[in-house]
Amino acid sequence: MGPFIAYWLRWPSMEALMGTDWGWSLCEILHFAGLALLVGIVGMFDLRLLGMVKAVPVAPFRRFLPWAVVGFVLCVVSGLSFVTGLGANLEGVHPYSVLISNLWLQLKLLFIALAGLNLLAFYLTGMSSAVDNLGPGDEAPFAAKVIAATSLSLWIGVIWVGRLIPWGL
Amino acid sequence: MEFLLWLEHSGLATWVRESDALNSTFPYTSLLAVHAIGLAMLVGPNVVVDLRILGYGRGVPLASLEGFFRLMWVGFWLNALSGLVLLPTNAVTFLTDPIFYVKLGSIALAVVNLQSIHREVFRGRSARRDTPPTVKAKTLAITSLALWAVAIVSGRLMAYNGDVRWATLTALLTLMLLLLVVAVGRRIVTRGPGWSTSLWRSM
Repeated sequence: MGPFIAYWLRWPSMEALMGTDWGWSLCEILHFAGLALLVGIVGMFDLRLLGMVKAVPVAPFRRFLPWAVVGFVLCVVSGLSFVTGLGANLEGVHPYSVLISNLWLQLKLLFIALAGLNLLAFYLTGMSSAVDNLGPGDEAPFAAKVIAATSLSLWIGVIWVGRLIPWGL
Repeated sequence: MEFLLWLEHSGLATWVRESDALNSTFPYTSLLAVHAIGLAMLVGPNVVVDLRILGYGRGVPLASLEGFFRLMWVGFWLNALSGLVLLPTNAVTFLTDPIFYVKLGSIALAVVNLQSIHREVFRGRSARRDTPPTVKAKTLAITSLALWAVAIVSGRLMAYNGDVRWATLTALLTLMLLLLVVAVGRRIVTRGPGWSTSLWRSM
């Protein structure tokens, strides 16, 4: 399994891009802009379900979620560039050795995976369609609140451990 | 300069910068993490308000978004405070760097802009139900997006030297130009060349 992952981490290597004057810093800018969109908008949705801004009707608010997806794509593209282009920044470092040794990166990937499972649970438990009926002032079902609280904690955790990654290298 | 050096070598700055508690150079990295979370709390909701003013998600009554202003202010103060503690750790570098003042200036303008949006959209004429946002509100929404973009870009570029900054700005502007060309191209393909006249009329 190890060599397999190691091969694929080096295959579409971003080292040429990340070795330029502008590659790394440009990806950082895109990563932070994406983070603000993704966690900002998903956080708003979670807080609405938790009852913070109940005046907002839930179904129409979903029109903003594609912008969170834009943020997610920005973060994934720039994030993958960081990992696979790391060798350009730190001479001779293989992305695989970072993946197996950097606790913060591992926690971040774990939190993102859990957030994905949480989202899956949101759909599979029927909460996704249940909350669509919530108009202004309506209270979300308890299960939806649990999922929203989980999502909010996980995304804050993703930012937190993500910011620590450079110190785990 | 002497004051900046004193600030940088003060007990608090040294502790924040060099303490290695909890195996993660705590508190320095924790402050950085808080700074990133505050960014998401402030800029994310502000972008949603801007997009709503510009016509996205019309099903959401603009007035209902006012509750998110509390969240934005918490994000702002989290970042003002974490920034204030982070500043002395590199006082000399930051306070002698023009781009640091670009960052602070754009944030100050963005916050004033946000207050103007609040007055215009939630207190003024646009606040009435079913009234489409005024031209002034739309202008404020666009300047808001631009100012936050400048704030994020300059904030990130503070970590780099002059060569990297110019190269990054060039790359970023090239990327945005490419996206603009693709977006305009798509509009022409999907709506025909008449889009420009219809856009003109809609304004």
